[in-house]
Amino acid sequence: MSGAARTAARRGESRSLPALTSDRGIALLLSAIMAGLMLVFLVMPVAAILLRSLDTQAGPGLGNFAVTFADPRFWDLLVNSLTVSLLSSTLAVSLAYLYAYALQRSNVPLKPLLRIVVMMPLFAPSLVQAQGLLLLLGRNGAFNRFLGFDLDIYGFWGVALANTLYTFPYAFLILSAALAVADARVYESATMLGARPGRIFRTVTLPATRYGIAAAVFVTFSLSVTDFGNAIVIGGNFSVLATEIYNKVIGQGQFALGAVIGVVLLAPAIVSKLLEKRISSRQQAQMTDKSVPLTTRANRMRDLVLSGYCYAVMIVFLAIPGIVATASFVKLWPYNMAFSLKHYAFDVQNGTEPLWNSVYVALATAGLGVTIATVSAIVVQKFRTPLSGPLSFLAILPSSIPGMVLGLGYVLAFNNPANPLNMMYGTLALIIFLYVYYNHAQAFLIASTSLKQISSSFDEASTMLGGGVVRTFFKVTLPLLWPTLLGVGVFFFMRAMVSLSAVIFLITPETQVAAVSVLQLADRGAVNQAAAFSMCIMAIVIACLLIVRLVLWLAGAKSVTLIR
Amino acid sequence: MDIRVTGLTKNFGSTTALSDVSLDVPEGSLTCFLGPSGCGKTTLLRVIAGLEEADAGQILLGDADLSRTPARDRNFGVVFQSYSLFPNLTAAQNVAYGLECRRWSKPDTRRRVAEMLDLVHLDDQRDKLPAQMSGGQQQRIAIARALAPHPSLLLLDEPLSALDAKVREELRQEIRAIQQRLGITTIMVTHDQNEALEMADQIVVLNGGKVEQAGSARALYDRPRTRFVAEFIGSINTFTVQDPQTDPHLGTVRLRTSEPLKSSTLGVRPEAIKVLDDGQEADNVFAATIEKATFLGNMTVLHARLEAAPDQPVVFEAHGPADGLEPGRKLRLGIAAGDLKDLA
Ligand SMILES: Nc1ncnc2c1ncn2[C@@H]1O[C@H](COP(=O)(O)OP(=O)(O)OP(=O)(O)O)[C@@H](O)[C@H]1O
Ligand SMILES: [Mg+2]
Repeated sequence: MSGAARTAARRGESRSLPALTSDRGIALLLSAIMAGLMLVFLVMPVAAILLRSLDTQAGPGLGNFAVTFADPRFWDLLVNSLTVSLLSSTLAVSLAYLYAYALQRSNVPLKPLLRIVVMMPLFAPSLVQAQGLLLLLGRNGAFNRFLGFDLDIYGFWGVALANTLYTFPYAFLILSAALAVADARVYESATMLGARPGRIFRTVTLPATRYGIAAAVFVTFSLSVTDFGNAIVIGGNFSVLATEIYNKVIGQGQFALGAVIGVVLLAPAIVSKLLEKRISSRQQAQMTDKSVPLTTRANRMRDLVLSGYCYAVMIVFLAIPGIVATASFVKLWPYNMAFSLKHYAFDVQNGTEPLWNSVYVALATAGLGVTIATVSAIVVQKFRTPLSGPLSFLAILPSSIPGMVLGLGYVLAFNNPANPLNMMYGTLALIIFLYVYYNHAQAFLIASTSLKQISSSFDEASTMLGGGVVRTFFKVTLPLLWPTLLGVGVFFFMRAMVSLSAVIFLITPETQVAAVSVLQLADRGAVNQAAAFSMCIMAIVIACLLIVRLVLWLAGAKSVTLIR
Repeated sequence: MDIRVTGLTKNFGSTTALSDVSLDVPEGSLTCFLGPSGCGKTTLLRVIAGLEEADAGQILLGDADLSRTPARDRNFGVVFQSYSLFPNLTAAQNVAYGLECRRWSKPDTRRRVAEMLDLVHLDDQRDKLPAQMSGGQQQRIAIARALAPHPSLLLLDEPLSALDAKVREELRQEIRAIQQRLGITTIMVTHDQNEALEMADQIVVLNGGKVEQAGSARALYDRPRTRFVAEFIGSINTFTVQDPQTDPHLGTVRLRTSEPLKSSTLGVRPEAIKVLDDGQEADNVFAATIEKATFLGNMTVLHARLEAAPDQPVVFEAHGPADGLEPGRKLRLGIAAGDLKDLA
């Protein structure tokens, strides 16, 4: 060994305590930053809602709640919200169950196509469902105009149907995962004991997936209760709690009453999340390493029936974006059906600016979101600091907060001159943080799961060779993790492109985003332009998915899930 | 420099993994930690490495107390059981890792990596990723990686246990050869007694978080202090002796021992029991009846019953086919005084 090398080696040996403090220092610093960000962008807004709901002219108290609960209209809205959400949740879960069953347990042809088509609602703002339904079944819809029907979709049924379509993919993803695991031995025993397919389904399949069903019900129910895009576009005179917040806050500037409804909306979401967590923790031990994966047997009759069902569902899911696309390309739906690109000129409002705002916000959300979710996961998983416990709780908290409620919290917290971060109000930066923390829970869980799969022996090997935490991360962890993190980035990007309810209160003319533009255009009756805007959003999301898929494919990482 | 461990104690919640462990590892020697599963071998190794913090006790390298030195600055090399090569780095990059951490210059690093790959005979695999190498090759690279930065101590945690028998045999010899050539102080964890006997200068037998006995393979075999050690290394017959301190006898036979007995448990290695010809004498002579003979090719394992103590069966060996030693045969067995081992 040369002299230089020897001194270098010795230098490594003699750096003793400072290195310890520097690793420990990095751990503590990162933990503190993560905790600080969560306090400012998560805890503070939620606290602001709670405080504001208790804030009356006579000082703090339950006055606002009393006023709200004494209003019979509130109870009407509550009943509306619950019934419409219950119906759409039931429909979405039953339909998605059969669909997922067909894809996992039968030999339906063209499975990849069937799978991707029902994901379409995730690529666009929720209210595109309502838009599409109106174009199909509304007063000026294709059925009434061109096929001579006389349907009225506005109101309860319209909202229920739109929310069914909107929440279907969420249910499908959960149920598909639940149906994917099955132990062939159980099915074989049941068959050998003489059970017929119907009985096997009731006694084996259904019980094995009941946790998945419960989770899907909870998720779809909370999505429907807190969605307001569909209700505003297709609800007509039918109002729900989510639209009521919008009216109270935007229409009448009654923040306190809006906050009360926000607190009310928080309740079912939190309850269902808690139940979901308890239930999913019981799901675990179903598959052991001895399980034999189930293989699908040939059964022509079953495959024929299920194919019929799947293609029917697929046609519905193609029809919605299809009709929206059509409307975006005609001169004036439904009166002048000549082809035209004029709605893509975006010569109204702020032109294409909202679209570019959205792309910018979505890219920034992806970058910042991946960084924050990954660092949080590392802080919780790898560093043992006193902050790890509280952080792991806060990290998954946002999944129980409806976007609209969090958004309202942001307004209450940041549109307050007393807040030192008041200058962030009315900037895209605040919207970016809102999207990051709104979607933090899921991203954090994905990052943590992948981190756990990276054996701790790599960390230890690196430590023993003299590597610090930073080097280990960049040389070992990141190279192993980046495909997953890219997937997390896509998830953030998609959600930021399409989320409507979270940002609706934060929008100013300068910070308009695309999803809100669709709402405003649709609200104003500019059907064709709204459709064109929706198409642009979908095109951008799909382009992003394709690009990332290509990158992953080129890098040889083919098994990364992009749509969640 | 010698490694000295004193009074090391480590609890995981309510389980005590190590209790008051003290031992010395002389410079340049290979020490094996040997013991049954769960006895605390890995924990002891990890505490020495600095990957785990002890509740009490000291680790000294020469005169320097290491207790407050973080793992990455101890300059120890570690080879884990398996799968610890960085999967995203090639063999050469893995070996270079520790040198980069120490900011070696590029040419020095390149030279050292080549030297190390040459040492483990894998120069031709330098650009392969771990997944493209066999288990044995991966462990060799792991050894090269651990040795590259001139560690003052090499720690191996069951480095061979994930490999199949033939590769294991080969690598055992290779590790020992490298260790002796470099003269590097080494600690290796194993639960395979053959591995320990073949490789170690010193064996530390652990049981239930405590050191049962430490010493050379020969010393442990010849002078086991406890029944656990005697049974763990090789096989042994154990007898219960009456009146050990005053008038030791086994059943009806008085015992002649080279040293006064302290405990009532006595061990005799199977090969120390000789079949006596007529008229041949020994320090201790027992009349016995063969109960069972198992032919194993190069030797026959014989089970017999002593007339003096019919309740204490004995097992011994005869070389070759042992003609005439069939069940029921009566014979005389002799044991030298020095072969009666006093076991605590
Ligand atoms: N991280 C830990 N948390 C809790 N208990 C532990 C932990 N690590 C080890 N133990 C316990 O400490 C005891 C000693 O474990 P250790 O891994 O050192 O045994 P070992 O001798 O290496 O066993 P093996 O031969 O099976 O590897 C065991 O009872 C084990 O269950
Ligand atoms: Mg072990």
